Amino acid sequence: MNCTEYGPSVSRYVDEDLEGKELETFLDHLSECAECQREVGGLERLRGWLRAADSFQGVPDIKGDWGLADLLRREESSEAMDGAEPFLPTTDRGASEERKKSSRSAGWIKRFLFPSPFPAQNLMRYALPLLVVGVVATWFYTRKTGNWIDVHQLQPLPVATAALPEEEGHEMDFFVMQHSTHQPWGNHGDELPMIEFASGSSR
Amino acid sequence: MPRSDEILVAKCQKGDKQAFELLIKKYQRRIFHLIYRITQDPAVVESLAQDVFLKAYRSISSFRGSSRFYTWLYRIAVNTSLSYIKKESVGENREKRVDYDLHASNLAVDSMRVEDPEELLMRKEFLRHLVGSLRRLPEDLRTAVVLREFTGLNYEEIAEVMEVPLGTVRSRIFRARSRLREMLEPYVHES
Repeated sequence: MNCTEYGPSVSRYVDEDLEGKELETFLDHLSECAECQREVGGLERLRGWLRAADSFQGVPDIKGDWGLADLLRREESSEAMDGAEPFLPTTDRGASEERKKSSRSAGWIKRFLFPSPFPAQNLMRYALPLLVVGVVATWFYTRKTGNWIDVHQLQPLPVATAALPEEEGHEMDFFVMQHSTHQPWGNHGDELPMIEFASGSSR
Repeated sequence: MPRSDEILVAKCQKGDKQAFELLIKKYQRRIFHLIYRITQDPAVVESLAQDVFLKAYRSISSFRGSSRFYTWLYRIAVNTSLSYIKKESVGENREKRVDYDLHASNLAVDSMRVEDPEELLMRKEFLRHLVGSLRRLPEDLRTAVVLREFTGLNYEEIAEVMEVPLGTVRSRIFRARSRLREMLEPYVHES
């Protein structure tokens, strides 16, 4: 039999829910199946973690010393049952209000600014958004000013070559002018033509 | 049903308020515990628990004893907690609650006197992960696993509380555990 069929049985086995023939069949399989034995171990470990988490968390610190009379009074004073403020015995009411006020203000600010109990996580909470904002701002800035150019996107423009005719009175008989327009900022009005002279004499 | 519950319920049905006081005292902490584990919200535990006992008191005359009193009471607690969760449509607020929860957890871990700071940190991280994983389970799976692991009910009792067939309880607990193990797997590998 395939072990995946025994998955639910393993869960029921650790909860003592298997009985009779079902239990016998499962135990026969379990004694020979290393995978299911590991599964039993894994589930027991998970249950141990959950029990540990339960004891770590405990139960919130609540008074709980109200009785039926308090509940009936509360019912009379409030029609809405769900979400209503818990009724506290008269003797505890004043102290409870004070506690609530002070813990609310300090706790709210702390939880808002530093929601995690771990300093590293609180730092990450601010570091990542700041990094993203920085990258986006830089991108917009460079797009607007053109100070950051992606050289891979530049298209080389053709080089104009002109041979000027020989004119009378010129000191130079012949020269070739190369006008390179290979400037990325050409569209932004900052044309700085690069002129290279390659001179030579025809004579 | 335990004999004491049977007697107290019978007295309540005859109008004995003191008998109901005794039932409150007996089950109060268990109901707090159950509501807290389902809602994960310490701020509403007391209020919801009061609702549960008030509802129980108002409808105890209709309790026929076909199920155990505590499963009947737990059913009211589960339904009250789930309707609170639905009503609140939790989401964002729950993150805050979990932070509160983890704050309390940190205090508990700190009190364990773990010498090695690295080990202490690991335990805290694992606890955070575990509580977060439990919180991310769908309500029906979480309720089933809470009733099993934290309240200690057996499958039949859970079926009574959740008002679903026994097979559904088995399936929900199996699925809840499988999901939890999947979610915890990265941490387990690291450790």
